[in-house]
Parts: sequence; C-alpha cells; structure tokens
Amino acid sequence: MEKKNKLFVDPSPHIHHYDSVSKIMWIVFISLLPAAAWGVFYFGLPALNVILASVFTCLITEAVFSVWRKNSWKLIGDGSAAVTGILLAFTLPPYVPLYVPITGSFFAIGIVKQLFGGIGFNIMNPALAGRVFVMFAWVGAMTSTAFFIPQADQSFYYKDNEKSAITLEAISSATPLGMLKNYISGKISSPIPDYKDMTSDDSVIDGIPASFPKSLFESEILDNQDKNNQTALLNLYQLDSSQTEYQLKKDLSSNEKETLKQILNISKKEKSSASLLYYKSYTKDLFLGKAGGSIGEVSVLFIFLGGLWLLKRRYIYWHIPAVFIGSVAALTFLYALSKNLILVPEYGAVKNAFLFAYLHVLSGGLILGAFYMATDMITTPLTLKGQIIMSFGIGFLTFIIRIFGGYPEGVMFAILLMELLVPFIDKMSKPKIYGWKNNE
Amino acid sequence: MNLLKKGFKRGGVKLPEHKETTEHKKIINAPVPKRVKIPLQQHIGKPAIPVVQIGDEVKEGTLIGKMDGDFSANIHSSIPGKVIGIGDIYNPNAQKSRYIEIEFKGNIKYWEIKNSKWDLFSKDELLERIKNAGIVGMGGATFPAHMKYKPPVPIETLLINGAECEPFLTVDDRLMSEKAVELREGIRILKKILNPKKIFIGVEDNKIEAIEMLEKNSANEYEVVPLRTRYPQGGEKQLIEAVLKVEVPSGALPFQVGVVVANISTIYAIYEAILFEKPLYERLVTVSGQIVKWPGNYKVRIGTLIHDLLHDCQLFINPAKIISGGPMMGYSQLTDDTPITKGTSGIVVFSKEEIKFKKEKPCIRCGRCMQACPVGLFPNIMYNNISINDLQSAEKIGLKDCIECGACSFICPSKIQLVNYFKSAKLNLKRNISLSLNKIPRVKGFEYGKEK
Ligand code: SF4
Ligand code: SF4
Repeated sequence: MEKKNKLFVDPSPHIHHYDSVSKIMWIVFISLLPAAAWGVFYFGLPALNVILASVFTCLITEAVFSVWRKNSWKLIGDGSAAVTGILLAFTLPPYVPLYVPITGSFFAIGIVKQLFGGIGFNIMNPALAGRVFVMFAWVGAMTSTAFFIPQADQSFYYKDNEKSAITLEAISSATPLGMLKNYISGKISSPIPDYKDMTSDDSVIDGIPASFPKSLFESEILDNQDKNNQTALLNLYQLDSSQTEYQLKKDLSSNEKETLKQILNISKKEKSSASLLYYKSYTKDLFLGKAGGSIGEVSVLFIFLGGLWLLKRRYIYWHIPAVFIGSVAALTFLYALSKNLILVPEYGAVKNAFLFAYLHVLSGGLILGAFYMATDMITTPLTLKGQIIMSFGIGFLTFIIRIFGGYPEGVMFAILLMELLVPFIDKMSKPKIYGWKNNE
Repeated sequence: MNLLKKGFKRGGVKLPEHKETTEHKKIINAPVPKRVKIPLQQHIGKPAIPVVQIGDEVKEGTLIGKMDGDFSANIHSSIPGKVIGIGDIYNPNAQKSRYIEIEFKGNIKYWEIKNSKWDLFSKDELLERIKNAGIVGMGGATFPAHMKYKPPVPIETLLINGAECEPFLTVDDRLMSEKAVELREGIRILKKILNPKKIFIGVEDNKIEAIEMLEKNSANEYEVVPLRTRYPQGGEKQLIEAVLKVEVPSGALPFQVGVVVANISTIYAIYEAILFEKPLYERLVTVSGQIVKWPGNYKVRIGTLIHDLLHDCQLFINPAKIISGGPMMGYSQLTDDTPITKGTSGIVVFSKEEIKFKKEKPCIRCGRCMQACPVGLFPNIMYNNISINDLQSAEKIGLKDCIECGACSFICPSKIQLVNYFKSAKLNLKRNISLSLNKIPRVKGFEYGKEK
C-alpha cells in the first residue's frame, strides 16, 4: 500500500438502503403494466395510443421543464413522470381523441408538478389533477366517448355513429354507479340497465333488443328456455363479428316478434329475475375486468395484484388502501341497509346491501385510486396515524360524493380534496418525541 | 417472535449486518508496531498535558500525558521505546490534536494479576485507580469513566450496553463470548462503585454465543436481556427505553432517571486496570471489509496508525474509503496516517467498487425517515427548515433531541444526508450563528487533497 492513496471522504452513514427514488418509481411503473396490457387487449389499439400519448407527453414535458428550470433533462430517468403518464391514461376513456391525454399530461407535469417546484413539491397528485383538468377542459370529448359502456356496446355504437355524441344521460345510466344513483333517486324504475336507454331507436324493435352481451344471452337466459326456444332464438340472433354479443339477424315478421317477446319474457313481471341474472354476471365481470370503464379501471384484478406487489415491497402501506376501501364498503353497506335498498328482489336486505357495497368498491376506479393514487408518497401524510386519518377522509368523501353529490364518481375529487388537507393532518398527527412531555 | 422481544419503541431500521466475517474470529493481538503516534486528545474535555520530552525513554504504560482537569483523561505509552517527536495530527473523528510519537525499542511486558483481592479497596480508591488508568467510555463517546461512574445521586440500575448494533463491528460480541468471566469481575467492580439495585446487560439477539456465555457465567450478578436486532438498539437512550421502559427526559442525562450505562469494552478495561494495574493503552478493534485478507478482532495498541494496522491485516487492493468506527456513525478518514484511539471500535475499509456516491435528490415526502427515527422526529421537516435557514423552527420540533444515529439518512431513497445537516445545524445553534444553507458544510464525496 503506497502513500498518497486517494481516499473518499463523506459524512456518515456510509451505507445506504438499496431503494432509491428512481427504483421505487420504475417498479411502480412496472407494476402497472399488466393492467395496461389488459386494457389494451380489452379495448384494442386506441387504448394503447392513449397510454403512449400520455406517457410520452409526460416525459417530454418533464424534460423540457427540467431544462428550463436549469436541471438536466435526464431527470426524467427517475420514472416519476412515466408513472404520472400511465396513471393519467388509466383514468381516461379508451376512445378519447389523443389531444385529451396530451393536454392532460402537459397540465399534470408542467403546471401541477414542475411549476410547484418539481418532484416532491407538488401539493396534488399530478395525474389526478390532470384528469380533472381534461374533464373540465374537454367536456365534449370526454363525455361523447363514454367511460362505462362495455366494449360490446361501445364498438357497436362507435362504428355506427363515429362522431355523434351519445347523450350524457344515456351514458351515465349505463354506468352501474350512475344507474344505481338514478335508481335510488327514483329517476329510473329498475336497478338494471335498460338496454333501450342505451340504444338509438332503431336498435330496439318493438321492445325486442337488437343486441345482447354474449354472456347474458347464452348462459343466463337460454338456461331458462327449453330446447325449442333456444333454437328459435338462435335462428333470429347471431354472434357478431367481434364475438362478444348477439345481434338480430333480420327484420322480423309480426309473428316472429310475438314469439320472440314470449321467449324473452320482456315484461315488467320478469324484471326481478332479470336483475338477478344481470347482477350475477355483472359482479363477476367487474372483478375480472370485463365490465367496461376507463382504461385502467377495467382490470380490477390486475390493479389489485400490482398493488399487492407494491405492498410486499413496502412501497405503499397497507393502511391506506385498507382503510379507504374498508370505509367505503362499510358506509355504502350501512347506507343500503338503512335505506332498505332492494336491487335483487330474491336477496334479503343484508345480501342486497352487501351487493351494493361490492358494486361501489369494485367500480369507478376505486381500486386504482386506493392502491395507486391515495398512496402517492408525495401527497400523503408522513405518519401512519395521519395516513389513516387521510384514507378514512377519502373514503368518507367518496361515499358522500357518490351518494349525495352531483357526480356518480367520487374517488378523484375525494383524493384531491384530502390532499389539500395534508399539511394540516401532518401537524395534527405528530408522533410523541422521545423524552418530551406532550410534545412541548 | 420478533414483536415480543424487547426493543425500543419508535422507528429504527434493519441493517445489513456484515458481521459474519468476524463474529467467530477469536481475539488476537495485533503485531506490535514499530512506532506509534499517540494523540493527547482521545476523550471529550481538555487534551492531556504532555509530561515527556523528545528523547525520553518510556515503557509500556508509562504516563506520557497528564489529565488536565476532571473531564480529561491520562494518556499512557502503548509501546516501550523512545519519544521521537511531538506534533499535530487529526484524530479519527477529524479533531485536531497534539500527538507524541514513540519508536519501539525494548521488550514487551507481561502483565500479571496483582490485586486479586480488589474487594479490599474502597469505592473512592477504585475510582482513583480507574482515573489513573485513563479509562474513558469506549463505545465512541469517550466520556471519562471516573466522571461517568461518579453520579451525583444514588442510582437504581446499572445497564450494560452489549447491543453493538453497528454493522461490521464485533468486538463487544467477542469480548462477551470469550471473556465472560472477566467481564463478570469487571461488573462486580462497577457494582461496588455504584451500588445499584439491579444490573442488566442488553444484548442484541443476533449474538447467540455471547448471550449463552453471559448467562452461563452470570452467577446471579446480572440479568441478560436479549434485544430485538434493530438499529440503533445500542443508542444509550434507546437501550434504556428498551430494557427499562423509561424515557430519559429531553436534555437530561441517564443518571437523572437512576441509570448508568456502561460499555462492554469499558468494563473490560476497568477489569484490567484494577486487577492488573494495567493502564488503558490497548483496545479491541474489528478490522473488516471485503478487501481485507485477514479480517478479525485485534487487540491493538493505541496510537497504531491505521496504515500499519491495515498492512498487518493485508489488503487485496488499495482501499478507496476507510471508516473509523461503524459505517453508521463512524468517520471516513482523510488519510490512513491516522492513529487508533481509545474510542476506535473498528476499522472498515471499502474498495472503489463498493462505494457508490449518490447525488442528493429532492425529498419525495415518503415519510421513511420519520418512520426510521428512533426519537420520533420529522427529519424531512427539520431538513426543510434548515434548508431555508430557519434553525429555530427546526429546534422547536426537536432538532436538539436528534441522537445523530443516521437511521434517517440510511433509509432516505433520495439519498439526502439528513444527519449531516442536523449535525451542522446543531453546531450552528450552539455557537449561536446562523449560516445559510450554502455555508453549512455540505461534505460531498470529494477526494483527498482537493478540498480541505
Ligand atoms: S439522525 Fe436524528 S433525526 Fe435522523 S433518525 Fe437519528 S435521531 Fe432521528
Ligand atoms: S426519507 Fe428522504 S425522501 Fe423520504 S421523506 Fe425523508 S427526507 Fe424525504
């Protein structure tokens, strides 16, 4: 060992935890990819375009603003912009025109994040703020492309009337949450989607639906018919090219219409069993990601798995999703119970309330919000106690907005509102300091 | 069941231990160096006054520096030979100090037990002997022992710190495993001095052999308390909290809650000082690191240069970073020309490949530092305050209670040197000056020679 050996000197500690900001962010990004893949698989290429447009705009905006603020453009390597991009895309409908994700991403990164001082200084989750921004900036584009129409209906209508907007009412009554809300407030009389509401006039012929989702048609309705009816039905309906729904084959004679009506039993009396069938298949679809919604909402299962991975890596804390989801579930359950809400007449009150809570937890991006938005480190309180307070607040606000507010959706606004309270919550939830009396 | 084990309440971090390389290596004597540079400031308080001159012949254990006031400590020669120089040098903890350089000449002394009947000594006599032997707290604080074990009020509990929570270091572990009987004798001496009602030894539960040996040899003198392996279990206040479930009030010293904490190495030094009448001139040092060929636990003479010690342990390649003490609270050395002192419990070397210098990134408010802090502070908020030069606000939320353990810096994913800022800010507060952030010494990974 010679002298004049160069030694590095830096302050203690000399070892560090292996996690770094960029590592955390990229792993969050990767954990979102399965859900993204499912979204693309389910909605097709338009969804991929939205995701790519959103992620790349975020990266470019981050780079430009970083250079402008005299940092290196390489800051985009920390992955936080990419995460914002993919999260923003997840909250968008799959068929929006691409200027929506682009402006949204620009607003999210440029205004909400960079103008507040870059990573760590934003007071709101950029992705959510961007989402709210586009919601108000592009009311037309956002509503005409619909969030909640399942793919079957979506492709059907979208192909036919490319630009013509389906009215907001029609769409929101197609979302389970909106529909439930209308049902509770008495605007509609039955707690299942009326396919008539969703279709343009010529798709329902004398009360006979022009199309049925495949699952509803095959498994549930046909089970109740005898062989002859099945054959009769199959004669008149056929699978469409996308293989997801049955459509009427041809114009019907009045005779055929009568038979069909009889077979399908579309009458007020049968509503009850129809709603049982509807909810049975819908609840399953909801979890597996076949129920429609925004790009990231469809795959509750993959979001959930991604979230579990992050939990296991301790990048997020289980208290936040648990308290958030738990409080929404409990509140909606109690609400349904107190209102004696009947969705499926065959079920008892408790089971109905349970169904109501289940629908609320699994739809409207609540799982996405619980695992990925409410857990955003930058905008959550520092202490466990604070985080629990915050996530309960989010759950409570979500419940209030969804049930009593003007929107069927509440997660986004609830999270954004609670984020504004974070400094206050931080102050209130100080831990007791060693050797101090009452933190004096 | 980790949760049921005793441990401090708040925060803490789990560290990579790296103890496996040395934890089973028996204590051996390091080769006697050809020359030593013995600093006169190896303790807190005033430096000792030199009592030898160049050219003087000294023996092992000859007094070469006399204590200057009560908070000082005697310094003894660690090798026989001749004083060849007096000069200035940096201590391992970057403190400037005078040193006395001695060149080896003569024979090594063999120490024999002189006072097996030490029980006949009075309490004051024991303290006097400890004082003469120049014993200081050897866990790193280097508080003179004769002051520490003379609390102004009677105490309830003697708590012995065998936690050794720093990664790499294994000297206390080895002492407990190999010298349990001697330690028991040392504890008896302290018991006579302090007259406590209860005696506990807190040991982290990763030291299985040590716990076993201590329990086997306890003779009902003390109770061994296995503790959860979690950094900083060996922090004085954390240890008290873990074992006794009491908190030392902010700004107070442990004796105010009736506790005196003693370090394992110190107890061993006391044992030697009383029974052998051997002054403190050598101590146990763990030498560890991946590039060390013969890592181990060595008995090293005070004043041995790190350079010589590492030479004896054989390095595979040149070190890029040398740390005196453990990697969490130790100091990285400007040069390997630094002497081992009474407070040096380990030398850890890293190669160039092992040190990754990471740039500080902005805080992302992840809250990990807060969850890691054993005191329950908000490190990131204090950091924010300090960075806008608002030291008073930082003080209000507990800056002065920071024990500088470094858990927050360790865990921070943005690699912010939080504890470095806190140390600087505390110094500034003490001196009542308020420096803006860019004047706070931000030691970044500079190379030796480029910056002071
Ligand atoms: S260095 Fe200070 S602030 Fe950081 S964890 Fe330790 S006690 Fe807390
Ligand atoms: S650990 Fe670092 S990044 Fe996280 S809150 Fe503390 S200072 Fe900020």
